[in-house]
Amino acid sequence: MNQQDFNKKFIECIRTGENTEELLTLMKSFSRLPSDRALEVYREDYQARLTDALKNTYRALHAVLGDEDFLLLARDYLKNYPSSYSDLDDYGDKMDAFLRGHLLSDEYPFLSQLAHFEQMFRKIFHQEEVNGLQATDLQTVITDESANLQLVPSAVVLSYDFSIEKIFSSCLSEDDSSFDFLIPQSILMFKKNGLVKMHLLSINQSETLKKFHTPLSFSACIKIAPATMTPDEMQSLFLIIGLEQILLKS
Amino acid sequence: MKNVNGPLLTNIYGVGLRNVHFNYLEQSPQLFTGWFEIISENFFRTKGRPRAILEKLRRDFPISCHGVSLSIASYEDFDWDYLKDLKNFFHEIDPFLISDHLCFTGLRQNNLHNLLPFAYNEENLIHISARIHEVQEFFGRKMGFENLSAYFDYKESTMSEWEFINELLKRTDCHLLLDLNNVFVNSHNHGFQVDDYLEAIQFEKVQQLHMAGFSERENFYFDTHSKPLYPELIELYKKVLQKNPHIPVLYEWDEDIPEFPVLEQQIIHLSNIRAEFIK
Repeated sequence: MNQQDFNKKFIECIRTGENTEELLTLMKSFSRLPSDRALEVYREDYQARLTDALKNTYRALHAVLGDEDFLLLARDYLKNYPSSYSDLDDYGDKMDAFLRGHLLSDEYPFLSQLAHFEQMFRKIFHQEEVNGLQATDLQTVITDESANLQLVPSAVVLSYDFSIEKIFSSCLSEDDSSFDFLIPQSILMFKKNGLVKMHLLSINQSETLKKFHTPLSFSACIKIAPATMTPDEMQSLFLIIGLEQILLKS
Repeated sequence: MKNVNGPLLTNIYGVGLRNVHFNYLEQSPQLFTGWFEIISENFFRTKGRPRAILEKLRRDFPISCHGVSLSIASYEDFDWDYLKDLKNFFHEIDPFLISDHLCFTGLRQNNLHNLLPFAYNEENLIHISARIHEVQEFFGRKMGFENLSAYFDYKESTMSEWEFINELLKRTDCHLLLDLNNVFVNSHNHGFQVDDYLEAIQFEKVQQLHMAGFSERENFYFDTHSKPLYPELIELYKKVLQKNPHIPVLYEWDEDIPEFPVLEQQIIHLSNIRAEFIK
């Protein structure tokens, strides 16, 4: 067997256990470690590396599930999704979709959304920090109907059916006080001074701010803002936008 | 091929930059280490904190970029997007050495993220030489390739590891990143003499040494980078000093990583040994 074919069969063997007998005929055993044991070492190593990568990205998910269930989830994920990444830390980006149909979500219905939140956290963490307009500049721009604004790339507005930010925070702080996780949450996640920060938003605020995922003038945004949005909601949203510098002139 | 080595290192001892030490290094402590090696893939596509720390350190320290995903022994085409991003990254960081491993890591759509051995034979020598030429041409500079620890050998191997490496160095003019821990672990597991290996290797091609602590299970050694220096490794280093005492040395610690000063103790120890040697 040439090296190219060996490589393919070796990889299948590590992932699925297939081809083991055939590979063993091509491998030279060491007295201290027989070839079948060597294959096990590589298999265990593969699973440990990718599972650790998932643990690093999904720390809250790991905390919710505990070691045993997280390990089972990781094994399932590995079976379904081989890595196609050069950086191992990128592995696991389909976890939210995978969890939507997973048995564990019957017990913990928020898992998929928690995974999505952690993916977004990672994405913003690695994003280049961009500071948008300061409050004073914003005052000028919002009166200009031709000036379009857009969220900076290091900010995102997220909406969930569950109290995801609360679940995330309590997992990482090991806070075991009880709370109602069934309350929906909208979150502004952004990067400032090298850190990932968040503000909780009302539904009206998040619907309004989401419009700025694509370029839009401030006056146009006001026109299509939810009719139920109160002046207080609008004012506090404006304060956040100015304070955190999350809108850019596009 | 251009040989980009950058400024000569004033201190030849370096350590691997790992995120558990970011908080410590952000405080700009007084350091012994003369340079840092980074895992390129952990830094080349992020604009986050890892990149900020790297850029801060780069202002004061030479950097060596060591990759884990080139998969030079693969039979698939290179991932050119990956190579282009790496090339841009090298341009920005200006490392004194770029390197990866003599191994394959999996398939493009099925990366095992491990350093996997291949048969030491003419077929692979021709194939890997061509790929090294291709990638060195693309980067416009020589690369270093690290010998790896392997937990099995191939019946189709027709030469020893050192014979293969020597021939590869001759055919490609690449550098060797000699991992002494891997040599030692392989010698124990495969049953060859370390001296045979060291006597055969062309030390003029060695641009960097890696040293680390291994772990042992059922009298088999595993290259875990999880321990302080072993006396056997120190003895091996003394042999290398006799060959060339000026090769930059990196201490790697990747599992159960200790506080930074404990890591630095390893290279301080090695530096003291060298000082005694060249006195």
